[in-house]
Amino acid sequence: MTPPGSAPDAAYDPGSFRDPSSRVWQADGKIFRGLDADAAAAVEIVRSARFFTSALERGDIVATDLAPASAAGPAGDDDRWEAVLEHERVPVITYPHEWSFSMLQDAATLTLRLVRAAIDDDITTKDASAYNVQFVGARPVFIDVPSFEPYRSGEAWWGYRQFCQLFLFPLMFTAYKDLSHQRWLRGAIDGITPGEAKKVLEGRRAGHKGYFTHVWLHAKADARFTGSSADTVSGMKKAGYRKELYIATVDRLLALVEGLEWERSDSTWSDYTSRGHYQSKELLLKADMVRSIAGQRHREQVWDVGANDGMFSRIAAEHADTVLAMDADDLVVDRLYRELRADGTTGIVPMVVNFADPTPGIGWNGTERPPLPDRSRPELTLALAVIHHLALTHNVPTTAILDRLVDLGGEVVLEIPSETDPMVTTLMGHKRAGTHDAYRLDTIEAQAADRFDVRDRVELPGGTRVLLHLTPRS
Amino acid sequence: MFTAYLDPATGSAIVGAVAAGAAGASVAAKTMLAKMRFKKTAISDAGVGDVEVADDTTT
Repeated sequence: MTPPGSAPDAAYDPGSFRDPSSRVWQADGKIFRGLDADAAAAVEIVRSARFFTSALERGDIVATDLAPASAAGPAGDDDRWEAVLEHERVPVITYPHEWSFSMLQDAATLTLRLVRAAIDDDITTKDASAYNVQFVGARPVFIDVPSFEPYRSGEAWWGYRQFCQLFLFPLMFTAYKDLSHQRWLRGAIDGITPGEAKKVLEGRRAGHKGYFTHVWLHAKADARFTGSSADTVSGMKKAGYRKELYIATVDRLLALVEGLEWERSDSTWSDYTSRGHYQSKELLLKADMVRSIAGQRHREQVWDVGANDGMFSRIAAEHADTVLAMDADDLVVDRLYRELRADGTTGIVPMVVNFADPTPGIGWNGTERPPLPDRSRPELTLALAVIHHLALTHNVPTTAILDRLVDLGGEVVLEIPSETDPMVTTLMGHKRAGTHDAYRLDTIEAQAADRFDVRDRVELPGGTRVLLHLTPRS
Repeated sequence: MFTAYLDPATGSAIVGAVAAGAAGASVAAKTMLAKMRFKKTAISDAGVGDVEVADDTTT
């Protein structure tokens, strides 16, 4: 194994600093985690625990091994780390504010199941952040190994509050109020506070399961008790807190989270699959073109912007390591995720992303959780049936859209509906006449040709849509 | 060996115990009573007018 830190490009992950006992860095394309003396001692115990080895075998915890003890971190930190772990690289990093409801629910369930299994080996977790979980395809994987540490007898679960703020409350917002959690978590890296949750969830539907204890009482207690937590923890020990209560709390949380359901059955784009605006010949031709381009060579990463039911993501995935299937509609992303989960697909990661308002950098310095283009660079982008929505609904100039596609750096399959396309005339009909007179097929094609090499052009049989295969200027 | 870095938060710790059920609620109640007794003692030790309560200060 290559000694970590030996490559000149070793750099700490910008999001790995809140826990001072360990930090993650990348070097030579590998992922390493340094552990200080206390963390190293804890991880040594954790790695030999039965729950840990079982979870590793199942793939519930990211594949992890010890790196050579001689390893050094990034420059200047040679003596800081007592031990270094190497983790298997997750293909693409995604964040809770990019996950659908079922993805967040599965991440929450995984966290609780691991906490529950760990306590049987007298191991606890010192936190319960949603950022401790990543998705490999449609499968959640726990990545923060030093989160686990030996359990101190008589102590409650220290991760309870964070679990509520980053998992339980967002899930309740969606299940009980049909509110999409993404914009809440995008706006607050630490999640939703008990007081905020109470303000949103109280009212007629306040009788829902879990509301009284985890929301109402939690908000009241949060406001009432502001003193030393250390005193409270030791006070609870004296009052008789024991491991059985810890287990009961986790078991009840697990039952609650597993029972949450999202009741919405339709959304703006949930019926898109019927694709009434396409003739079947058009759809086949489109699929053939995508298959032909995707199959020209194997790619590491492909973006499918406006992926909807994932039809073209699946085609691209036949020739790619990872396809990011992005859509702004959280219901369709959730449906796609549940289908991928059911059939065990690992090469497609569904994401709730609005290309007109993509995920920014959030957290400390705006870089703690970086924006999407800093985490993924597509070799191929499928921009099928999106340009007209960006231009006509979101008023983004087509030149700006094309410039954005250039910035992504890879090839593009671009579908351009003409000004006479039924969907375009519908969208234009929502606006004052003349607002989008500049939206013309010939204009957009010329703009594309100014920015890319046009490798192929296919006119779909309906006569109102054109597919272009664009490659970066040579 | 113990590297906890988060503030579990007093209110959350107490509610976490309540979430365990009746037995946990009993522990939570005892904990809160002990805090209130401590507060009462601190107030009477400090004298009338000095209401700086050690376990319930806000920053």
